[in-house]
Parts: sequence; structure tokens; C-alpha cells
Amino acid sequence: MIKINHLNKTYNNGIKVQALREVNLVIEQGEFILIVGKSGSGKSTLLNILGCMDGYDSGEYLFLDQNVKSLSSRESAQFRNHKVGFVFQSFQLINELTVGENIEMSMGIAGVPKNERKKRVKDLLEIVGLEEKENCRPLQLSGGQQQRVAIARALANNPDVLLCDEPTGNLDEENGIKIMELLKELNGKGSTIIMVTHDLTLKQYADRIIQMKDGRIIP
Amino acid sequence: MNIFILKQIITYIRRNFKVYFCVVIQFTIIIYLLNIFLSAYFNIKEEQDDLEKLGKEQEYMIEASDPSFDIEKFDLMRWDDDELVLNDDIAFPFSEDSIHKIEERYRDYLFNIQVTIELFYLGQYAKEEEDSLKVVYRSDCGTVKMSKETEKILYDVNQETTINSKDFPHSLSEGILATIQGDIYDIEYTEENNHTVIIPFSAYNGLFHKKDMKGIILSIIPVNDKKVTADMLSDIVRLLEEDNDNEYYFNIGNETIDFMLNVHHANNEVRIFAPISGILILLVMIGGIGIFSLVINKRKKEIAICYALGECKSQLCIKSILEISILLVLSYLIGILFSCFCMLRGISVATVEVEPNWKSAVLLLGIALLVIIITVIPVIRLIKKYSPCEILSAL
Repeated sequence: MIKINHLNKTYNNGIKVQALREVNLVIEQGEFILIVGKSGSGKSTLLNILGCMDGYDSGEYLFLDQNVKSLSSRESAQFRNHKVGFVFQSFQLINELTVGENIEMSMGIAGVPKNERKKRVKDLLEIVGLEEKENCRPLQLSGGQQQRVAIARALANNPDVLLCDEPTGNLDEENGIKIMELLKELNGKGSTIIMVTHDLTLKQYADRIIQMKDGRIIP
Repeated sequence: MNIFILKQIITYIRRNFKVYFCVVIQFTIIIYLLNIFLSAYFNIKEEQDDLEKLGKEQEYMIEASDPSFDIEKFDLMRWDDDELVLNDDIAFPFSEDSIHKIEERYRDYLFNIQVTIELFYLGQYAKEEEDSLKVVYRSDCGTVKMSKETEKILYDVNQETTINSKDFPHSLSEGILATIQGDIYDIEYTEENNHTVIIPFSAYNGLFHKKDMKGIILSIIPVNDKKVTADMLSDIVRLLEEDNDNEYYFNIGNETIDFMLNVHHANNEVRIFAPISGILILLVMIGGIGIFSLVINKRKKEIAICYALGECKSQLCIKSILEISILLVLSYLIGILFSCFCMLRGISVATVEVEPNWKSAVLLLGIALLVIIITVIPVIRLIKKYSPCEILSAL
């Protein structure tokens, strides 16, 4: 499903920092991949590139045999809308919108009709166990609940891959476990999940662990 | 652009309602004031154009007078030793030399000179208007024009029965007028008996009788695009005074003064309204840039989230452009309608009655579009500069 060959990425903000060096990776459909490593190892950079949030300097990234580098900015946006779903460490919900409005955002961008959006929101809230919270604001929810809303939002357009950047990073242990169990459940239903974390205790949930250090994958 | 995106824009506007309400009120007031000032400006410009058109047909008049002369006390006859002779004192307020100097200096202008010949019967001043003759030397005619009745009175002049030959220093004979210089002009007889003789300006020789000092007027007529200015009139008056050793008074006619005052006021008002309008436009632009840049900056996180969810930067820019456009167009419409309503009800600025002017509305629409463009440019640059990855990882 995902093939990365000799990927390199350098940041240049006054000082040159090579975030990724000759990264090679293959991810099959339905896998639950955990990318672990210390801060600065390049995990989040790799995740951003996988989600078309950021570009790369050299190498090849094929998603379902399509070369992602050849996509225009509009096609990249459509890729982020349809093919991937992001879950962030800080949830990144819009506090001025309700839970339902947050979830339907990516569907609205995709042009899904209103009735269909409303129905899908209800289905997603059922999946994450927050049916009664549709009209609440994010700040009225606990951290765990907010993260579940974020997961529902990420699943809105039936993406091929769920990209999670430290989803349990801001949660307590109990909520963290609940989130991981939800992700495992989704993986069981066929979702491909790529999760970045520095917490090795979560490796039990993953099919495969990829370790990174100084921008490289450690074999 | 789908309805969801439009709904998002309206949500943004509702979310920032307090700030945007103040912004709309501010812009509406500025558009309201601008429309009134610009309408006043265009009203005055139209008035100026009308004055200019009128000015081209206007005869700017300078009147000569002798303050020591009183026609009612003037005796047509005087004693010369023991003999009673005609009092033929000559006056030269607009002498040939003076007129030539003026013509030389102001080549692009035409000049007329009007003399009112006061008729005396049996040595006494006639007083009634129909007993005077007007002789007008005009630059724009090639023949002499008068009625037959007027010619009969002038024959009297030529016979020296009633008045002096200095009154009318030309001779008439069988449909021809001859000047002292020997030039001959055909006479064209008019039906209307208005006691006026029109003579080509080339026949003018600067001779006047002292008793006719009451009505000697020099008219200046601008040609083509030329204008008569107050400075020009002052210069001509000064030239005449110098040439006549200040013996006569040369006054600019009341009608001329009134006309030039109107033009002067119009120019002053234009000079006041134009910079005020300019300052207001500048305020609108600076205010717009500041406020919208601030609002967009506060929305950084949401912009980054929208990017992650599948919007590209150009779509994000378009949303911001639409948001700003809706607010400014709304302000424009309210401002224009309200100001037109007030103008129709009757409003004046300084001494100017202001009426709605379509040019002002069109210009303001252009200005509103310009303000939108200038306001969105920094906003677009902000959005393009954003790095969604950095924003999301920093939060």
C-alpha cells in the first residue's frame, strides 16, 4: 500500500537539519504500525510526509502505486481529505464548533451532501461511543472524549490510512488505554494505522514496530 | 466553492460578530461620508464646468470712469472769449495705444469696446435711456450694423447739430461708414431699433467725448480653451491706469466680479473636499489591513487544521477573500444607500447643496474593490507563509 524508497528531508531554518536520511519503508494494507523513537528522531516528519502535510527533498513515496510527489497542491489537498485521516496529540478540535460540526468538517470540504453528513456523524459517534455528545463543545469534554472525537473526525471520509501523532501523549493512562483499544478495534475492522509515539509500552497493540534514530530507520 | 464553505464563512463572520460589527459600522460611516464628499466634489466640478462653459461666452467687463465728471452738470456749450462754442473736451480712457498693448499681450483673446453716446437736445442732457446711443466696437463682426432710425440720429451727429463729432468719429454716406483712417465698411441695416451701432473693432480709434464717460466699457472674451483669470483682469487694469497717468478709474464690472467669485469659491471647495476624501480612503485601507490581518492571525490553528483535513492554501485564501469582501461590500451598500437617502432628503456641506451623483457611487465601488485587494494581500501572504506542520506541532 505504501512504499518509501531512499527518502531524504532537510530543514533549513538558518541551520540545516537533516530530519530523514535514506528512509525505506513498506506498509501493507490493514497493518498497525508503531513508529517509535526519541524526540528529534524524525518520526513526526515521516508522518507529515506520509500525510502530504509536508514535502521531501529526494527519494520516492508511492501510495497505492501513485507517486505522491507528482501531485499538485489541490491534488495533495484531496489526498489529505480522502486518503488519510490525522489524529494529533493535542486533539486539534475547533472549540467554537460543536462535536458534530468538528466531525463533519472534512466531509463538508469533500462536498458530501448535508443529509449524508449528518447520518455519517451519528454513525461515527456510535463507533467512538459518544452518541449523546453531538451538540457539545469540545471544551465540555474530557481529554479522552476529545481524542475520540478527533478519531471520529479522522475517519469521516473513510480514509485508507489513519495517521496518529502521539494520540495518547496528552492523556492519562486510563484514557490512553481506551484510545489504544479503540484504535486496535478500528484496525481489526480493516483500517491501516500508522502511529508515532515515544511510549514503548504501547507496542503490544501494534503488528510491527519501526524504530527511528537520527532520521534513520533502525533495522 | 460549495455551500458548506459558504456556511463556514458565515460562521466565521458570526463568530467574530462583535469585531466585524464595529468594522462594518466604521466602513459604512466612511463610505457614507465619502459618498457625500465625493458627490459634493462632483457637483462642484459640474458647476465649474458649467461656469467654464459660461466663461467662454462670458464678457469680462472693465468700466472706465472719471470721478471728477458729473454729466448732469456738464454744459454742452462754453464761452470762448465772447463766443459761445461747443464744449468738445476729449477723453482717452481706452486709447488706441492702450488697446494695442493689451491686444499684444493677450493675443488669444477678443476685445469689444462699448461707448454710450449721451444725446443732448438744445444743449441739455436728455437723461432718458432711449435718448442715448450705444456704439459697440466688436472683434467678431466685419460689417457695420444698425437700424435706419439709429442712422438718422447719427446723421445728426455728423451734421453737428446736437452733439460733437467726437461722439461718433466716423462719417456716414449712402450705406457706407468711413473712418478717420480712411477705412470703409458696408452698413447692414437691422429691423430692430435698439439704438445700438455695431462697428468692427478695426475701426476703433480711441476717441471719446468727455460727456460719454458714463458708459465706456472694455469687454474681454476668451477664445477656444483660454480662461480669463483675476490676475489677467488686474494686469489689464494696471496697464490702463499706467497709460492714463491714473486720471481715470477702471473698475471690473459687478457681474464679472460675481462670476469670478463663484469660480473662486468652487475651486476652494474642490480643494477642501479632495484631500478630506483622500484621508478617509487612507483610513479605510489602513484600518482594513490591520483588523483583518489580526483576525486571520488569531485563526492560525483553524487554518492549519483545515489544511490537514484537506483544504489547500489557495482555498484557504479564497475563504478569507470572500469573508473580507462580504463585509466590505455590505458596508459599501449600506453606506451608499444611506448617504443617497440623506442627500435626497436635503443635505449641504459648507455652502454646497449635495445631490447623489452616480460618478461618486461608481468611484466608491472602485475604491471598495481596491480596499478589498489591498486588505487581502497581506492576509494572503500570511496564509501562504503559514507552515501547518509547525503550527499543529507547536499547539
